[in-house]
Amino acid sequence: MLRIDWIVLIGTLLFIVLYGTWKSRQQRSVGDYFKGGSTANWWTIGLSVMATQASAITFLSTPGQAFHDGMGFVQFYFGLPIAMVIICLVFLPIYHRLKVFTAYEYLESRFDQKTRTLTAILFLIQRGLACGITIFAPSIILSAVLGWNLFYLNIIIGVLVIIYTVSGGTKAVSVTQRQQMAVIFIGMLIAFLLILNYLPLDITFVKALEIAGANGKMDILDFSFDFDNRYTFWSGIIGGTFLALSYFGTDQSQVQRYLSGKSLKQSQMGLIMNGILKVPMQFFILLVGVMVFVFYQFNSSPLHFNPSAVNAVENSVYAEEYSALEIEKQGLDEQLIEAQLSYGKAVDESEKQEYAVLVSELNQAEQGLRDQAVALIKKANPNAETNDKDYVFIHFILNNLPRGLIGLLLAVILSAAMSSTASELNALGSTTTIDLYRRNRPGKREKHYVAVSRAFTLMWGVIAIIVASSAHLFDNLIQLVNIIGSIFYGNVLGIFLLAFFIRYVKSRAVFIAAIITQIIIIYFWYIDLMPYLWLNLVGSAIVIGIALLLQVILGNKDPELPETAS
Amino acid sequence: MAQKPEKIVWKFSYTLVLTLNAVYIYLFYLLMQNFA
Repeated sequence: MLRIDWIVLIGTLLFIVLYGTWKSRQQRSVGDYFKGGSTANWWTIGLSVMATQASAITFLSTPGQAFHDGMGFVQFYFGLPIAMVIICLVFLPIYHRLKVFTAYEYLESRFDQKTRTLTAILFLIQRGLACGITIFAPSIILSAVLGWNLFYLNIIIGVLVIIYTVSGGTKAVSVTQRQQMAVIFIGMLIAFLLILNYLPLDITFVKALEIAGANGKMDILDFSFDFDNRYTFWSGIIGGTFLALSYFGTDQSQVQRYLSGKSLKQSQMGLIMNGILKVPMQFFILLVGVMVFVFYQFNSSPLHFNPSAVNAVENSVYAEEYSALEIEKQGLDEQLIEAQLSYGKAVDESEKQEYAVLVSELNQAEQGLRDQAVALIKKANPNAETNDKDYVFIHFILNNLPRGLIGLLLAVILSAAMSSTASELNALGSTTTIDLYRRNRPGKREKHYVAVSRAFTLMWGVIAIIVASSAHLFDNLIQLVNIIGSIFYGNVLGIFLLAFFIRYVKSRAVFIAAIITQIIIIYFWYIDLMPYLWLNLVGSAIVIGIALLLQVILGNKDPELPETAS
Repeated sequence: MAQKPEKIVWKFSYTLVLTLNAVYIYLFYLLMQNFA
C-alpha cells in the first residue's frame, strides 16, 4: 500500500468517527441515547437498517461467491421485502404504540417479565459473541492478504467503534452509518466501473455478460425443488421471509434502528426503503463479482486466492506438486485469454458457439486444477481454510486498482465492519440497560441511566474485542457462533410469533414452552440430529407447538397483564 | 386490561415494494433468458 492509500483510508475512517462523535455529543436522556431523541427520518432509518445488515463479509465474500457460483445467491434475499411488509403491518405499530426501547420490552406487556428477561438474555449471549466475529472475520482476511497484525487490527476496529457508539449512542450510530453507506456505494460503483474499463476494448458490457453466461454465472433463478441446492427461488421466498422476519423483527440490533424514527410512518418508510433497495444492491454486489470473473478470463489469476492456505502448501512436502499445478494453470490461462479474445471478436454465430465450447472446456480444466490445489492444501494442513471466496475480491482490489482507490476500497470494507459492529454494541447496551438493569432498578435519574448505558456499551465493546482477539485460537469459532445463534434464534422467533399472531397463548404457557424448547434444541444439537441451520425453524415450530398444547392444558388461568412495560 | 389487537392498515407503499420486487425477479428472468 502506498502513502496515498493510507491517507485515504485513515482520513476516511477518522473523519467518520470524529464527525459521528461531534454530531451526537449531547445525550441527556435514555430516549436521546437509545432512540436518538426519536428524530430520525425515513432515509436515515433505511440507510441504517441496510448498513447494519451489510457487514464487511458482505463486501468481501459476496463478490467471491458470484466469482465461483454465479448470481444465484441473490435469491436468498427474495423473502426480505415480504418480511418488511409484515413488520410494517404488524410488528411496528405495536412497538410504536407501546413506545418500547427494545423488542423484548414488548414481551413483558404481552406475556410477563420472566419471558422478557429470558429472551433478552438469549439475545445478549448470541449477539455478544456474534459482535466479536463481526470484527474478527474481516480482520483475519485483511491480516492474511496485507500482513497486518491481527491483534492490533481487532483492537483498532473495536476502539474506533467504541469511541462514537459509547459517546453518542444511537444517534452516533445512524449519523456514521450515513457516511459509511456513502463510502460503500461510491467505492463499489468505482470498482465496478474500473473492472469494465480494464476489459479489452472490444469486450463491451453486453459481451461481458455473454461471457459470464457462457460459463454458468448468469443462472440467476432456480425454480427447482432441490433441497440439496441451498439457493433456489422457493428457499429464498419461504426460508428468506422466515429468516428476515426473525432478524429484522426480533433482533434488537435491527429493531433499534427503526425505533429511532420520528413517527410510525417514518419508521415504516425506512423499512420499505430497505425492501425496495436490498435486492438490487445484492444483485449489484454479485454483478461486481461476476465482472471480476470476466476480468480474470483476460488476465491470469492465482490457483488459490487464500494466501495463508497457499503459504501452508508451499512450506510443505507438497510444494513441488503445487508448483507444477501453478505452471499448468499458467499455460491454461494463456489459452483461455486467447480463446476469450477470439470469442469477443467473433461475429458469426457458429464461430461464437465454437469458441464458447472451447472457453467452457478451458474453464472446466482450470476448475479441475483448482480442485487439485485444494486437495493438496488439505493434505498439507487439514485445518486450512480451503474455501477462498472471501479472498477473491480483496485480491483483485490489491493487485489491480490504482493508487488511492485501494485505500478507498479498504475504507469500504472497514466502514462496513464498523457500521454493523456499532449497531450490535448499541443494541447490546440498550438491552442490558433497559431489559435487565432499569427493569430491576427503576426510579433513578435519567443522568444515571445514561451513564449506566454508556458503561454497558463500553463493557460489550471490550467483550467484542476480547472475543475477536481470541477467535483465532479456536479452529471453527465462526461456525460455533453460528451454531449458538441457531440454537437460540428459533426459540426467540417462536416466542415473538406467539406474541404477535396467537393471542390465545398466555404468559405461563409460553415461558414453560420456551424453557422446554431450549432444552430440546440443545439436546438435538448435542446428538447432531440435523444440520444446525435447521435448528432455527425447528426451534420456532417446537415452542409454538408446546405453548399451544400447554395453553389447552392450563386453560385460561393466566392473570391479565398491564398494557405497558417499564 | 388486555391488549387490543392492532388494526391492520394496508398502504400503497406495501403494494409498491412487492410489485417492484416482482418486477426485479421478472427482469432477472429476462436477463437469464438472454445470457445464461
